Amino acid sequence: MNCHEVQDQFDERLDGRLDDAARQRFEAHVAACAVCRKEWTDYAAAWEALRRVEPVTPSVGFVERTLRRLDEETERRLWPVAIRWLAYGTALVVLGLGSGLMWRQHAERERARLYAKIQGSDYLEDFDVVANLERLTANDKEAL
Amino acid sequence: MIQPDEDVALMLRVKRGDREAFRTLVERYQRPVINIITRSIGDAWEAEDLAQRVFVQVYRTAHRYKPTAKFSTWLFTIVHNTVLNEHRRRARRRTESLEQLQQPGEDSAGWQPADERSPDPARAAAERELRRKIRAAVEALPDAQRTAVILCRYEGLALEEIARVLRCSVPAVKSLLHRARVTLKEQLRGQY
Repeated sequence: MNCHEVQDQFDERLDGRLDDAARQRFEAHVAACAVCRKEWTDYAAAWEALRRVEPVTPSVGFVERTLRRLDEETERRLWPVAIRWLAYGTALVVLGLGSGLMWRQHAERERARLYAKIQGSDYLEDFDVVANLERLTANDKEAL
Repeated sequence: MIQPDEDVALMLRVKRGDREAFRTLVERYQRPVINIITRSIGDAWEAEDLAQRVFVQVYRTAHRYKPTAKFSTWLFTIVHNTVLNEHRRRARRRTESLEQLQQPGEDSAGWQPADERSPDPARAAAERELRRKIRAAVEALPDAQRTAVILCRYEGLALEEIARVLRCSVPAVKSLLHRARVTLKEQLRGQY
């Protein structure tokens, strides 16, 4: 093995991915070659040094705080949705009431106009009774 | 394909809105999630806040979860993305307010209480300084390299799992680890 081949195997050696024969060849070269030995020592030492940084322990109550945060954020997200639906509902009710009121006013005006027509004998010939029959009340029909 | 994984079963319960299953997953994964984030951003307090965000996101996106891989792989992908966002946010903040740059020596990540039990204060101080340098060297790695190092070295994930988390190939993970190790070797040479 030459130096280049050995240094190409640093990662496999660190990760334990070399088989026995390859590992023995690797070790033999590193033992004999001062340059590779220095490179390998630094390479492995840096990787090993990462272990010196100890793991962090979660603070007490982390789980409870996380569940509480989930509740709070869910509530915060639900409010805008509820307000939006409330606005939609209110708009629909206002629209429905408005339409009903307008329709009622229109119907009353129409009935008043027809009644006036019926009462005025001048217009009686022009009035299409058959086409407007459903608009007439019982009193209108009686008047006719 | 459903994995024979207890966590997957728990996650499927979370998908149906089971809070107890969610609690169990938080209890089980709080430590690795907090540690990955702490090692990535260097601030244990902020790491807990981000870890909470990760778990809240797990609950919210549970309906999109598909049990095609280990639960931890899916979770660590969310952690990785959260850390990326945090680094981007910090980079923006640094650009926007240069005057708020940390003063030398105020590195909260490196802060540790004095170890009064240590028989040799000088040695303890040197050890603290070395740990600070190691943390700084890991944090300074590019995003993907840093995550690969943390998942490999501290969480013991196999190369295939790291590849799934980073959404890249196994040879790409090997390359990331190699470049990271070369950088760490240069950064930490002669420090120990």
